Amino acid sequence: MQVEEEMAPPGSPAPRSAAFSRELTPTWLSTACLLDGHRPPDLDRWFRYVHLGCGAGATTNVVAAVHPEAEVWAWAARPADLEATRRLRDAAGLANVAVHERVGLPTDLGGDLADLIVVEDVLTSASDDLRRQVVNAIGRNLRPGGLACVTYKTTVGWTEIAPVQRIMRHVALRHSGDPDQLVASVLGLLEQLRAGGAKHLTERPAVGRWLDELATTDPAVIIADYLTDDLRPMSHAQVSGALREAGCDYVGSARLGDGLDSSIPPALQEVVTTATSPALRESYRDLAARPMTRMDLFRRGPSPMSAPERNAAIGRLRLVHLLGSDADGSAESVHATDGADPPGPADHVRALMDSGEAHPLVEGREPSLATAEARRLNAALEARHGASAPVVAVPALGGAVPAATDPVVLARLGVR
Amino acid sequence: MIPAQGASAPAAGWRDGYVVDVPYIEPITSELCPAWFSMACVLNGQPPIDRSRTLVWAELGSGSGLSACMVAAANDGVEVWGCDFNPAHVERARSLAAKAGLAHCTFDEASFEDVARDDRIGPTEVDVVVVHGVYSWVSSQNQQHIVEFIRRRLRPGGLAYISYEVPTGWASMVPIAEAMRLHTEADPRRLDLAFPEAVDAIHGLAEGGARYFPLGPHESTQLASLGHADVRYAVHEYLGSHFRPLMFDEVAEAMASARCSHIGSVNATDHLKSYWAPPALQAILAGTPDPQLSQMLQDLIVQRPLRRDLFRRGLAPSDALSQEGWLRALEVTGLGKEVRDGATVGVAVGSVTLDAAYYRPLVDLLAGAPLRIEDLIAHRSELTVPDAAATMSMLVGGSYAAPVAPRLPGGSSVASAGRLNRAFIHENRDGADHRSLIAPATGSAIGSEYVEMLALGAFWDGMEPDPAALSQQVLQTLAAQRRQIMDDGLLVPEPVEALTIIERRVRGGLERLRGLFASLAIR
Repeated sequence: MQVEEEMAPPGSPAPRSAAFSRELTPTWLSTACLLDGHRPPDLDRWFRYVHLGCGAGATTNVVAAVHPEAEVWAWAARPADLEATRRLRDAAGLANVAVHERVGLPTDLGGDLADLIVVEDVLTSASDDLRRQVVNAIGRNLRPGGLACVTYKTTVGWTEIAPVQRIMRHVALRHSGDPDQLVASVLGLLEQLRAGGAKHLTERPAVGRWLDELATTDPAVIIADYLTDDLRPMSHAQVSGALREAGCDYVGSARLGDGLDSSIPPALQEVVTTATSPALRESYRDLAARPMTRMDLFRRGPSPMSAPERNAAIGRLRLVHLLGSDADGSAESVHATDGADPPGPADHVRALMDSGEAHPLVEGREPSLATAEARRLNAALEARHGASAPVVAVPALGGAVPAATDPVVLARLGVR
Repeated sequence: MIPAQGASAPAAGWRDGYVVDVPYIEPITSELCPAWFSMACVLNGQPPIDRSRTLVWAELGSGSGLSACMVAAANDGVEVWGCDFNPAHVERARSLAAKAGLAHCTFDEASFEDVARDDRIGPTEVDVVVVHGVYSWVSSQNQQHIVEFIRRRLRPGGLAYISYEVPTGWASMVPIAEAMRLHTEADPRRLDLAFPEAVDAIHGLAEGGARYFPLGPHESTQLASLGHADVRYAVHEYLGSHFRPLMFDEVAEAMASARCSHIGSVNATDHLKSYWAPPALQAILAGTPDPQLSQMLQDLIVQRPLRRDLFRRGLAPSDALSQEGWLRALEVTGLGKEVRDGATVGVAVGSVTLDAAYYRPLVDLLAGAPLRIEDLIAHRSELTVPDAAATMSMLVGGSYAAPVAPRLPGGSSVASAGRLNRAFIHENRDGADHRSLIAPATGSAIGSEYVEMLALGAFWDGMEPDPAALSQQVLQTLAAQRRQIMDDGLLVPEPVEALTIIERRVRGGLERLRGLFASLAIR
């Protein structure tokens, strides 16, 4: 097993990501797969969810709490991430989360075949060796019909920023002064260069915007995101090429808005949709929309559905309104219609989910389903974050919603 | 595995992700010569190349071999070896060396992996390794092979030159290059035929409001020029699977593993920071003791698109006295270019306008004989040695002068350079497009116009130096090639008008070259 050697700058990095990602939950991924016209995995039975790059553990533990019947296995390259994930698990008393705390990524990903493997922002900062290990692990451990979702920083978003980040990291690794002054020292150098007219910092709007954001970013986040690892943005062609070697085919984006026409300028829709290969289509799409990140969804073994089959399955989806109560007082509303010409129903559902207006219910669950695991996790999240806890786990959704969601809606969803 | 940036799948077959179905252009890079490298060493505080014994010069990825042949032909006491994995390139390079009768110039068909692993290929120990224009086009594995070759073969005190694209000036072309490559992959035609449509598609995205645009300043210029770029260059630059600009620290660290230290840039004016960095940024650079960081900050300051770095295997002991001695030994010769009012010299950022009152007399002096530092100081007594060296750098950077190559007793460079020049001219008559003449005095090449070279060929073949007769001969050659003269960007089909234009150019060219033949030893 190869061990990732990591040179760390002085200072205290925050876990890589403290945020919950709705797009990385089984329910969401399964729905995205369906909307893209592929048969989703069967999540009615016991399933195994692997989270590589678990960050502070919010998503990992939400998935475990709302799917107590599933097995969740988590790994991250950074000790701080693993510790945070384990602490949250323990605080919530979740018995179905295994956090792999030994150094290195085991080739078997800790056990049985996985139904879902999420690789969250790992590849962008990984060495070539670790990238190979991750891809090989997906190839070996993802069940046929299973889904892999890979999130990463894009070349189109970060290619101009990466050289600046490399210099920041170079300075940080050699910083010998007060660790508390590390970030101020690095940012101070950049500001001096910018004020002095360094052209890469002054003649590229994307770099300028990013520098402005850095000035108001938590120093611990700057250490975690920019001073600890190399930033090596990737393209869809790179990622999909690698996943193809692992036996996985690209299905679509887990960020559902990416599949909507509105994501790209109208004048470019034809050139994007008529591109001569899927990789070229995504390449054009990225040039057109310039996303900073991608959430690519892959399936081990393609299983396209016919249009009627897909529309029927979409028609069976049950969506819950999240932005307010319905006129009839019901929290549940089925928006998808069967019988309409595709892609109408799919795009309608995409738009509702992407905007945060609606969320699919886990098949067979009632909207008001409450579980002890979710209650314990919500209490643990509140204990971790205080009154500003970002999300609450909702068993009926197989995910979580913002804690600031309308209390009436939360009550209907069995929370509070 | 994860393919390199831009690669959607592992490259199939022997080509290893490299473009091989379109031959690369045939450029001569006149800076890739011993005298120029010596000057770069000295301007950056290191000793010049030791020319007291035979110099072994190796070029990895030698392409069609023109630069290697230039070094072999124009320098006495140099053994040149080049390798390339593309058999078409090696065949071409060998052919040119044979036409010019270059006995000390050989080429092998070998990959970087071959030469890194098999010491039987090429010379066992080399003084100079040249890696020009390929390092950021090949896979990281091949980069490691290149460094391994340098580690195993470069003599202590030897030089390694590596040029590569840098993200500070190239970054935003990376997604563009990938899109163009994906486009051409889906096109069954040869790459050079498919390329224009790929370029059109990118321009269409930009014009249609794609949010990725506009690109960075240098990349915008590159993109704008793609439509009329030499496609033989462009497909190699953009359509290889491994195109990835590199930061200086990546290359420096790799070279450190071969025990090589960075000396500086071969660009004549890069070391003159006061010419291109505003005072506030000069202060930051002066307060940056870390040499890697200093180089990366310089790249950030100027948005450098391309680095041309010289490394030395073991830095030589160096003190102020020896550095001054090396500077005083520098010698440059004139290239026949006049200093016009408002003339500029390109520096790392933008350009510097020359003070004609200062530089014109110096260029006039160069017309008479090569100049050393003491000659400059004798002419301008207020100059210090560093000032004089800076002046010399500007003269070289502006192509008013070039460093002088040592000529050895009994050396054959004048004859061999003459044979190579004739080979170029003969190939031009057959439709090639050489625009350089080999100059033994500098051990490199000077630029020459196509028409000028045809006229020179006719003169060397025995015609009288009569511009009218030579021009008539040039016109006949162009007609046989079904070519027309171009003037102010327009083709001139009418023979009488074309002859007038040709004669004007031939007169100017002969006048210019007549003065240079003796000083540059062009035969």
